[in-house]
Amino acid sequence: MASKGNLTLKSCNGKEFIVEEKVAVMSTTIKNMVDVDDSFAQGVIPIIGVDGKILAKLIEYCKEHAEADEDEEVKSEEYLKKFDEKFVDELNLNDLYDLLKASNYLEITKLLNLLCQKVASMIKGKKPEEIRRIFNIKNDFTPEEEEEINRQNPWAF
Amino acid sequence: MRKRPRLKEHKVSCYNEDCISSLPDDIIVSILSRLSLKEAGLTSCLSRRWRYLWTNITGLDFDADDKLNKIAAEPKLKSSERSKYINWVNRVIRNYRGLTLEVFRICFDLEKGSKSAIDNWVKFAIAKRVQRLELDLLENGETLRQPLRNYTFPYKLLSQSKGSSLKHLCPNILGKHSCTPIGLKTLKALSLKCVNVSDEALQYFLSNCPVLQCLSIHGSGDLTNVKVTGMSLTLKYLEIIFCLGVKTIEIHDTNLVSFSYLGANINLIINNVPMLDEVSIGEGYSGLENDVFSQLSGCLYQLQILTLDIYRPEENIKMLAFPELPNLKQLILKVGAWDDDCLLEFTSLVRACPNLYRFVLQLIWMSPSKRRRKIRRAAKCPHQYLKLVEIVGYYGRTSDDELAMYFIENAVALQKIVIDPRHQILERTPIRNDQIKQEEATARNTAKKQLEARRPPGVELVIL
Repeated sequence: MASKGNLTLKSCNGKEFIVEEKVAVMSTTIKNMVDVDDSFAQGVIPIIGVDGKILAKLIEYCKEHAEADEDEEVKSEEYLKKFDEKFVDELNLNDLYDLLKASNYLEITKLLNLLCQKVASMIKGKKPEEIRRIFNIKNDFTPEEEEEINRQNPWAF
Repeated sequence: MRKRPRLKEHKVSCYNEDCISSLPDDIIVSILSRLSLKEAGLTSCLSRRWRYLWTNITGLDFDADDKLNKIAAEPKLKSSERSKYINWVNRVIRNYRGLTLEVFRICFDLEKGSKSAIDNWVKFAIAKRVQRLELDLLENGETLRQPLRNYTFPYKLLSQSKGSSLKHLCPNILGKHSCTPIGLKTLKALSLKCVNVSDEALQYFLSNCPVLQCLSIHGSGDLTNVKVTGMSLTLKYLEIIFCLGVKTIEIHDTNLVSFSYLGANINLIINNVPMLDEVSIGEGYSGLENDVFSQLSGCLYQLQILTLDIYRPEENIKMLAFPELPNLKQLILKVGAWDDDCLLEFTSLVRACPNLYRFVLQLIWMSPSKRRRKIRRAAKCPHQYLKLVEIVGYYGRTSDDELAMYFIENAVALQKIVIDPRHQILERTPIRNDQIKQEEATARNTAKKQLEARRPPGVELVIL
C-alpha cells in the first residue's frame, strides 16, 4: 500500500507504480475517482487498457508538469517547452497512438493537446498520398468515389 | 469439433497497420481542428473513414490571405474572387456537422452588397454556440472603407430569432432575458472590422452576452456614444479603433482590464475601474490631442502598460506635459518618424517612469530619409529598473542611432536590446517587396555595425 499522499496505479498487465497524488490527479479521471471514493486513495487504482510501458510514459510526463504547476520558479515555461518537444519527438507511432488513447481516457488534457498537435504537425502541408504513406492509411475509395470527392471538394476555395 | 481460435496476444504494429484510423472520432477531430480549414478538408480524400470527419472540426477560420494578396496585385479580380469566397463559406457551412463552434472567422473584402450571405453566416455561428466570432471585412484586407458601404451587424435579427420560439415553448421557465438567443450566452470574444455597429448594438452585446470578455470594433461608422458601466459586466478587453463618428466614450464602475482607443478627438471619461492596468491610446492627428493625460487621470496612476500613438510628434511633443507614473512597467510609443528628426525628446517620457521595465519605440515611416549630422546626447539619467529596450522600425539613421546610444549609456540594469529593422507600414502591394527587402537588409547591416561594438558586456543584442 502506498504511504500517505501517494497513490498506487496498476497497469493492465499488472505493473504497479507508486506516484505522488499531485502527479496522479493531473488525470481528471483519476482525480474524480479519488474525490468520489476514498478507498481508491488507500488501495490500488487499476488503469484499464493501459500497459506498463505507456503508464510509465504518462507518469513521466505528469511528474514534470505537476512539479512545474506547483512552483514556477523551479521549472520555467521554456524548460517545459523543451521537455514537451523532446517527449513527443522520442515517440514512435505505436506509442503515439497508445498515449493518445490513454490520455484521452484518463483526461490528461495538456498531454492530449500536445499529442494532437504532434500528429497535426505530421499532416500539415502534406499531400494526401504522403499522409497515407506516413500513417499507413489504405485508400478504400472506388475510382468513381474518388472522382466525385475531387469534383465536390467543398472545403476548397 | 472445431477448435476455438486462440486469443491473439501479439500487438498489432502500427508500422504496417492503419492505426491512426482506429483512433476514436473525437481524437481525430481534435487533431484536424489544429490544421487550417483547407488542410483539414483535404483529409476527406484519404479514405472512407476520413471522408466526413473534417466536417466536425471545432473552428471554422475562413482565411484567404493568399487570395487577398492576389487581388492586391490585380484589383480587377476582386468581384470574381468575392463571389468565390462567398460560395466557399456557404459550401463549408452546408457540409458542417459539428454541434458547437469555438471559433468562426470571416476575413475578406466584403461590403453591404453581401449582406444576406453574411447575415446567414452570423446566424449559423450563433446557432452553433460560437465562442469567438470575428468578421474582418477590411477593404483589400487592410484598409478602412467609407462606412456607408460597410456591412451592418444584424443585432436585431439575433434578438428576434431563437428567443421568441423558446419563449413560446417554455414561457414560465425563462425569465426576463428569455429573448437572448442561446448562442450569445456562449460568446466570449467578438471582433468586428469594417462592420457598422450602432450604439444600440453595442449595448445589446453588453447586456445579452453574459460571458463576453473581449469586444473589438474597427471602422464602424454608426458608433457615437459608447458607454461601458456596471460591476456585473464580464467585459475585460475593449478596443475601439477608427470609428470616426465616436463623440464620447464613458467607462466607469466596471472591471475592465484593458482599453484601446485610436481615432479622432473624443470626450473620454474613465472612472472607478479598479482592474484596468493596460491602456493604448491615440487621439487626433497628433495622437495626444484633447489633453489625453487629464482625460485618463481617473486611471493613469494605476496603469502597468501604456501605449501611445503619436502619429505627428513634432506638433505636440514639446507641449506634452507627461505626468510621473511610478507604477508603469511597460511603455510603448508608436511614433511617426517621417524625417530624420531627433527622437531623444521621448526619453523624457522614460525618465517620468522610474520603475519602467520595458520600453518599446515603434518608428513608422514610409521611406527612410537619412540626414548627416552629429550625434546628439540627452542629459544623463540612470534608469535603475529598465531591463528591456526594443526599437522597432530601426533603420540606422542618426535619430535611431542616438536613441540606441542613450539607452546603452543610461540604462544601467539593461539586459536586452531588440532591434527590429522591419518596415512598419505593411502593405499587400507586392510591387515594392524587393525594394523593402533590400532596405531591411541595409538596416540590419547598419544596426550590426553601429551597435555590436558598443554593446556593454552582459547586454544581449538581438537583431531581428
